[in-house]
Amino acid sequence: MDISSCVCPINGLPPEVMYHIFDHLDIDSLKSVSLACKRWGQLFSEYAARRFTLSIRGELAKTLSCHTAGRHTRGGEKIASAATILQRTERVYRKVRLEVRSPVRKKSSNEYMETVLRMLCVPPMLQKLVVLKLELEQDSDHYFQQISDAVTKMEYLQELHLLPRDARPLWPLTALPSPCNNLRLVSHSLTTLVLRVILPGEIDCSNLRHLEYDASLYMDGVVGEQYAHNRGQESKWKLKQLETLKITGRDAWPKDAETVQNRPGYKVLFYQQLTQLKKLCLDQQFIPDRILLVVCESCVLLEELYIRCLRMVNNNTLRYLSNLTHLRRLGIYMLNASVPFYVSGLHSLEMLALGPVVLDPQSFTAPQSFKWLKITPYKVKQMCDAIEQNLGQLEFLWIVIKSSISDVSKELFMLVYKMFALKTLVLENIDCVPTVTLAKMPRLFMLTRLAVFTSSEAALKTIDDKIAILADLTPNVKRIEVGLHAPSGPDDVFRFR
Amino acid sequence: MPTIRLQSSDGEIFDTDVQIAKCSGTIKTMLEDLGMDEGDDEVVPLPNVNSAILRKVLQWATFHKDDPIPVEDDDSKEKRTDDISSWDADFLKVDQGTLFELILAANYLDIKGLLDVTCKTVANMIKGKTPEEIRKTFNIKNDFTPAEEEQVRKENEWCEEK
Repeated sequence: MDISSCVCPINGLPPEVMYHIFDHLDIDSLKSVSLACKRWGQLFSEYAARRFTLSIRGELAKTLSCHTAGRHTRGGEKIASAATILQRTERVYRKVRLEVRSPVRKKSSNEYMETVLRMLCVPPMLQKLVVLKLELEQDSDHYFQQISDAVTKMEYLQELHLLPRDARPLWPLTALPSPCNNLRLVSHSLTTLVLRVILPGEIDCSNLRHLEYDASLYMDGVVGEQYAHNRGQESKWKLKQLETLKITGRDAWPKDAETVQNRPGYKVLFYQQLTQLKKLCLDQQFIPDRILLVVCESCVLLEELYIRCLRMVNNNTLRYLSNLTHLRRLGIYMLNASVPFYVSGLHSLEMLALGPVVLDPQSFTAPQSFKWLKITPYKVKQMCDAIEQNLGQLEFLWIVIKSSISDVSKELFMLVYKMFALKTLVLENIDCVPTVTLAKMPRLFMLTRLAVFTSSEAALKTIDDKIAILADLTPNVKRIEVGLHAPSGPDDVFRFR
Repeated sequence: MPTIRLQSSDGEIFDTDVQIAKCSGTIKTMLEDLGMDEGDDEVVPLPNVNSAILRKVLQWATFHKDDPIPVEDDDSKEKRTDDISSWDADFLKVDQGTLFELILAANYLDIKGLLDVTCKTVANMIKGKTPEEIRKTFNIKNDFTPAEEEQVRKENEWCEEK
């Protein structure tokens, strides 16, 4: 094919190549693309239906009507235009985000809401819908029956998110964390469920593997209570097949409130049943060490474990981690006690991320697979002793610098020099390192990637001299990556490689 | 250094270092699957690439022969375009026809690095532009009726990143 001689050579490129180009564009540029000509409009429609979300939300409708009609619109009309779009569009979106408004006195508004929900349940939407995000408002339980029916009918639905409207994550719909009995999730296709606002009365999804929920829903306690009453059998919530569990947010109720669901005994029962878990992320307030203990005893297939804050009562609990022989990634960000962190017997460990936690130099013997370490130096001398024995194999090192340790960071940087296999170095809060310290560093020829993050936006403007020194120190780094907010939390940490 | 002989669509033969030719997934598979041996004097025909483009492709591959294998990221997020090296930027200062033929060749020969950098270059030609500016850049004729255009515009308002 000779496309050079065409009037419009770019139209000689096949769709898959155009999509590859689109992968590098932001949504606004792509919207321009969709308006260039019919072919590009068509290409965008196909592409957008995969990458983007059809988002039916009130605020959006409001801004739309301001642009177009310049008059006030009522709730019903907003949803009405959504219904029109759904009826007319040729784009078969795989992802839909829908704001479920509470029923209002005006009857027409409720009818439109029901129309939109019904539209989602008929072809073509029904055929392709893979991700559904529902934003729920107070009293939207009016539609729960319809939502339950819709979920059962969507044969391709893999992901369902039940979210609060207005992105207020700590706003439960009900006054007490009790399950909503008229919301029942029965599906054979669903693999991922995210619960941020309510606990359904029933979950019966044979392929459900990933569950994420807000700590304020007390799901561990509620489900644990079910196990207690049914002698380990499942009736309303079938979760024993879960492979990934992620709990985020805070418990919304005060600690001293004696809720039944908060009884630790029930929570223990919950984790005891999850024997298929491969990934567990407890990104919530405090995890008592007896939960860690039961996880180490029951979830023996775990490959990833992340705990934001571990409350230690028994200093020996960490030793039970060695039960988890499949564990590849481990992150513990806070320990309430100054227990040295014990790493031994983890034969598959590849990545370890630690907050200001002291490593125990005696126990820190990492396996050959161990390549990735994130540390927040604290008691630097002890930390250096601990990692000194494992220097030769580390390929990735991430140092979170706290201002208080800047004077001792020299010692740590000298260690970096001895890490022959190191390829990537990440320095978080680079502005806290004195320029003189950097200037005394030896050159790091082995590094091929260097990323630095600053602690604040203001600091971003003050690090030019440090960047210049670092560039000189790392002749084999093509370009130093500079960022403002360092990724934090389990997903970001483990995705940054 | 072992070499193989690549033949372009217009019949020109390129004696090429095997290591360099193998940065093309297509050629690598051909050599491995079809059991073409390096010692053989066989010719590998590349009927979809002309000599001018093949020459450029090999020039690119020679410069990048020691690059690490690019990692596949499955993230659905927008990929960056501001990381084109200055050598690549100079190399790609060509007319649009040549640029698109390089893309087709990279796609056919399965050279991820070249496909990425050429697609990034095109993405940069689109980024931040209005529909009219895009049409002008690529010599595209607007075949929408005003009503059709309005319909697309309206639907776009409901399309979001998250």
